[in-house]
Amino acid sequence: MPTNLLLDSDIPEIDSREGRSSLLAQANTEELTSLVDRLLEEAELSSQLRIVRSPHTGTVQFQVREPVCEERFYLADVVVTVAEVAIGNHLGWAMRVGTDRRAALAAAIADALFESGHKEACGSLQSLITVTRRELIDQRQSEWAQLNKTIIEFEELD
Amino acid sequence: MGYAAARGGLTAIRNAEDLVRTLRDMDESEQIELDQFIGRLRLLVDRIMGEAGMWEPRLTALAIRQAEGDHIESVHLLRAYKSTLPRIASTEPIHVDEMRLLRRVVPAFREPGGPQILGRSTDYSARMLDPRSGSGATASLEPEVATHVAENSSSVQTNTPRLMNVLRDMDLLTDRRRTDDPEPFDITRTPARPPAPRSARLSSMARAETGALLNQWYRNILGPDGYLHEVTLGEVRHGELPIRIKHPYTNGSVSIGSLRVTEVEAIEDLNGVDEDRDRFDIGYGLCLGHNERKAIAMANLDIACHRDGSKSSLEQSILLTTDGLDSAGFLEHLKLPHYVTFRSMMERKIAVRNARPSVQKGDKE
Amino acid sequence: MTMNAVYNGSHLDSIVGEDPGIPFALLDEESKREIRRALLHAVCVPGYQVPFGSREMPVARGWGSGGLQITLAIVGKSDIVKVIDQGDDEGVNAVNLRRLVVTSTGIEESTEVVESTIIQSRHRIPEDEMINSHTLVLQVPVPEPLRGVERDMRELARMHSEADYSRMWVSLYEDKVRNGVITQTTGYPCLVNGRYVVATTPIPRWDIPRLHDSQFLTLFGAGREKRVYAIPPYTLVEPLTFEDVPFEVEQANGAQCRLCNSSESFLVESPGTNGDTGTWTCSDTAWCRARRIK
Repeated sequence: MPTNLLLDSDIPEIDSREGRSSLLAQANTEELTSLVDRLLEEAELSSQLRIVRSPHTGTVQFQVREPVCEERFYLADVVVTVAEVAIGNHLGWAMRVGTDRRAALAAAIADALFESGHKEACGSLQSLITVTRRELIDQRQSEWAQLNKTIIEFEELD
Repeated sequence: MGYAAARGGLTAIRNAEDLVRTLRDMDESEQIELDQFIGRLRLLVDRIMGEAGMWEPRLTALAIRQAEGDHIESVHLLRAYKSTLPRIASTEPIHVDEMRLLRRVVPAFREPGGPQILGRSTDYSARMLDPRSGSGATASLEPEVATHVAENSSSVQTNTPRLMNVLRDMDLLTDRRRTDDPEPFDITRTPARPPAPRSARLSSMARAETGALLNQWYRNILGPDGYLHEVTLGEVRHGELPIRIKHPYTNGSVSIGSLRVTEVEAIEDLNGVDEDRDRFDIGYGLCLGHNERKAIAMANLDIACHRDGSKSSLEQSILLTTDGLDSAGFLEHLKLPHYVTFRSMMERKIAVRNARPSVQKGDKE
Repeated sequence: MTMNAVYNGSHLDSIVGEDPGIPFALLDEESKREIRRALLHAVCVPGYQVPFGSREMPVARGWGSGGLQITLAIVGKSDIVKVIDQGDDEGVNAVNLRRLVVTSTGIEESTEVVESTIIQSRHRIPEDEMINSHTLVLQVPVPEPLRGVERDMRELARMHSEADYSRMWVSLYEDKVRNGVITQTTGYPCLVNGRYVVATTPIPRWDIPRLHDSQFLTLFGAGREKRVYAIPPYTLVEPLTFEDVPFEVEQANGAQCRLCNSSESFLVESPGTNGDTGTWTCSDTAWCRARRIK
């Protein structure tokens, strides 16, 4: 029996590093980049920022496991952009789908800021990912509301 | 360097390219924006992503616009772009049971367990041209925000078993589940040649040209090759799978987004003399985007190939003749100059003629 | 997709850096390394078709994508490239491929064999002498010499691995008996190093003797069929024929190039129209031009 079909099963949690990375990967580009830009205005932050690997685009092989033989195969490649930074000695990493290098960099900086525990930054980033999470759930719910009407209702036989 | 006497080849090529660009971009109509392709030509974008073997709707839209809608050309642009990119990682293996359903049809049972969700489908629409389509005049009002539906939706999706598992529970299915978990074959790095592992066939079909796969299927139904017969479909699903990778620092799972796929289970009646006559077997199809035609053909060809046991030419046909860029590229290369080879052919025609006994030569003259 | 790195008030813009863009010689480094590994394998086993993970190129498959991948995998910044199609540097496909190589690497181009280090060609070997400083890259549409006698790839693999070329010999024999001559035109099958039969792209038979015991390395690239193979310098290359049936190159019965009067080069015919007689020209345009200047 499949156990993972819950609508919100893979909605990331806010309180883990992986969950935050997931949400930063899916956050609205404009909101993410303008927020990080604003946070970088603080001189202390920008002076501590170091780019470990500048944002670059590449592919990730999408690997699936099929149900007949429970075998894996490669379905396709996904185009992603990755970046790695450090703030002080806190490393930040991000990967986002697509080719937007600026957004990947912003997400990596946000990840490092979370790790650094910088109070003001963490506060506003926390609200960004909370909103992102809410939007993911809302989108699925409204999608389901539409799909639900297309379910074929059979007359009860018993 | 000594590049004397350019004879106009390059100029002609540049001017031809310029003609394409100019006539395309200077058309009187408005430029088509990329999100219009993604939003309004969804199925075209999906098909091209699948055949390119690459998920990126925006670049796909760009490719379609640049290629003036030619789908092979669009696939070519995307694959050539991919050749310039480094490979960064593989996702974690994503089990297809994780699919978040957007559509589900089960032809094999009236009430299969779990819902039959038509979703976004024109299967039962009369094919009538509608001058108002796309104008907004045909759209219904916003669906009500249905929080009450959302509550029971979790349970509906959780209780959607895969038909394959229903048949397994009834002991009506040949069990082919493996426990050795072989590394998947990577068709982009090693050419797949018969005999190939099943993972190579599945990858090849997932990025095959849709029409080629459809033709392989139909050619086996009505054409000279009879390597498969009609199946009963178990599941036809369209839905979302998470793109999950390992976090490089923590090794935990990070879902960086999702992509859409079409999935098909094809139930095969095992009617061969050596086969398990009191059980069924299942063929599997999975491709990027919403492309049911392709997934159904794939599932049927998957089981046909398995039953065939590499005894016929079916596997070679699937692995070697269904890629759109291979076939289209080779077909179109016939447009290139061939006057050296043709000269050699003319020479042999004369040689054959001269080698004939003189009586016959006289007839010709 | 390039980003403007100029600081315009945005901290992100000032640190995001230049998009590295398209790499040197188009392909990513891993891909080039992989192609080079396949080429080394090919050189070590002359005539053996080495499978490789052929990449999609900006040119279509069948349009020189295999040759292009080889050139791009072996090219260095000091190389000088010559590209010909049918012997002509100005053939439209030659122009297009050369443009891709040159613009993606910034290397020099030439029409002169003597100046070049890599010569990529479709359907011809240049008439000029080539020495060990040259690498000839041939574009191959169909790398399998036995496909005319066998279609099944499993059987083809067996035939090559056991050097079982009997059906090829039978087909040449039947050809000779039926037609009085061996009618194979271009791409004449040759036995390389006494071991593997190869398809000599479709170069004319005229060019075949040039492959035997050559000073230069010849690399064959079949992009669509995902195979590379090689004839290293000083390798035995024997066209398949019978003891009493000498191998024949193309004859043009006293024809001469209308431009340079050559009768010792591979000539192509321009048919006469309206009852005029046809004329002949050298297919190797650079060679013909040099002769005229002399």
